[in-house]
Amino acid sequence: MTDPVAAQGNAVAGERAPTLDGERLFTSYGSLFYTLTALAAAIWVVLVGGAIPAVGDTRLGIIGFACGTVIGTALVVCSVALPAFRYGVDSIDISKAALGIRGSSIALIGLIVMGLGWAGVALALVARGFASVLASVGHLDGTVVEPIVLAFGLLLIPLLYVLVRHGLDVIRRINQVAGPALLLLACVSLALLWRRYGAADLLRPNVPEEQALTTDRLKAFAYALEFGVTMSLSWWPYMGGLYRFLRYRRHAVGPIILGGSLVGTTLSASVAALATVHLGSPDPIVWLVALTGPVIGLVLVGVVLLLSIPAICLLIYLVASAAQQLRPLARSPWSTRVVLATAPLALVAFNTSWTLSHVVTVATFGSLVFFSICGIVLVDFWVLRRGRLELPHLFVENPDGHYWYAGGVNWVAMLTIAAGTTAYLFLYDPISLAARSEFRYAGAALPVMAGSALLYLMLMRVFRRKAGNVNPGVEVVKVGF
Amino acid sequence: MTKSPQCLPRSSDPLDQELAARLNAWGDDASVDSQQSLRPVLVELACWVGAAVLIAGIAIVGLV
Repeated sequence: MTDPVAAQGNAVAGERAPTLDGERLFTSYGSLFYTLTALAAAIWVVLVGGAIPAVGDTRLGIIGFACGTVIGTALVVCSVALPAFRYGVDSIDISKAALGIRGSSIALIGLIVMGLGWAGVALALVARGFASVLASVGHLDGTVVEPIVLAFGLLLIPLLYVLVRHGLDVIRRINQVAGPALLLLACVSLALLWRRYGAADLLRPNVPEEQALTTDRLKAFAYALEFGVTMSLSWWPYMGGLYRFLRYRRHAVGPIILGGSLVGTTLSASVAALATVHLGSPDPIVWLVALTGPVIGLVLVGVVLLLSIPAICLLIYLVASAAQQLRPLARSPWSTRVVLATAPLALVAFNTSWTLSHVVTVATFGSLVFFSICGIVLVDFWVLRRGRLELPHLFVENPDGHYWYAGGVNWVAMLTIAAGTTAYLFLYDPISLAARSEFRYAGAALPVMAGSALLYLMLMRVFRRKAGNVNPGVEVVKVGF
Repeated sequence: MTKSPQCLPRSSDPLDQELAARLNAWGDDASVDSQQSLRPVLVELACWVGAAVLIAGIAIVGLV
């Protein structure tokens, strides 16, 4: 069978070679805006939105969350999206200049764990959601039947394979519908909440004090800021894979801040947060039915679940694309990598409850390394390399390459990542949400990112030595112990 | 202009040749948008971060 992506050009097929100008798919503001909106506002936003009221003050929580997403997104754009836009390569290749050719494996593992983890969580939510809708219609006595969940899960997997196999262009086209639809749905839900509770009371209710994470309002704000920042920083591994397909620099900021952060994440999460605190459940089936009635509510839930499928496709696409970095898969056809990226989801279909209770933890821990990596790559690119990389050397996998360091690994970066991740877990437990007293001033992710950036910069200045200038004006740094 | 370094793999494999061709082609056209200065983008980002920090400050002062 002919590979359907072959005709679209090499880069569209998820190949890691630099994307040339003519192959860049995001040529309009709307194309990137809606793709990022669809990615951010997919079903997982309900999990995040449902957690916001737990900070203790819903109004403060929404403001802190919005500020956190904007700050976190701006850092991700600076750290990885802009270099990826400039050089046409993904996050993993960009990270090689700072982490080393082999050291970038840590980012690759994080990308695969997080990508498949969140795709699995979303698949489990969608499969269980469809089964719940079916049960609520009345035919199944209101109880979710596991074989029905399994059937929906197994039905989704070939659909995901077919969509991803056709490459990024097909996913982008679907997102041109999914993005506006999710945006409209969030606005309609907010309008319904407004009509029911009025402007004055909409933001007033909070969870009972005994259910709140804290009664300290500054700490409550820090929690909300942390939720927003970590949500945005977890985009780090994916943004390179999208920005390498962006054509114009005038679209580098607006679509991600407005579409990804403010509309996709903040608006959708805020609606989920307000519905949770007013109607007592983070489950969209409960609050959409309560707001719109059983028939329209269930139809809307079905639409939300359906519109989450393109976001799962995007994650699988980015995982399959990055999998080319793995030596055994470097020369494998695109369809093989898509099969390998989709296959683990079959296990999810058989264990949706287990996935929801355990995989979120795995994916959360998988994202921790990116807080330090974001800071390291940011200062490496903008401060140490003054905004320039030697593109061909990102592909040189031997000691002659300028990003080889010692044994292919920049041990300074590894040490910094280890220190940063330890410091993060010392300040804050992302699973139990227990935090030390210092957390109340700025959360944990922002100080860890800033500290990692400074530590890396300081250590690189101590250990670096000039290894010659290959490109005029570019300082080449080699580090070894 | 960026040219392939000598240390890149040189084989008759189509993927290696494709990579070499792309690296040779990359950066040939200085007029494309991705090769322009990123300073305006950084300024725009700084404005967004400034606005977020300002709102966070107002929220902390006003609501906390």
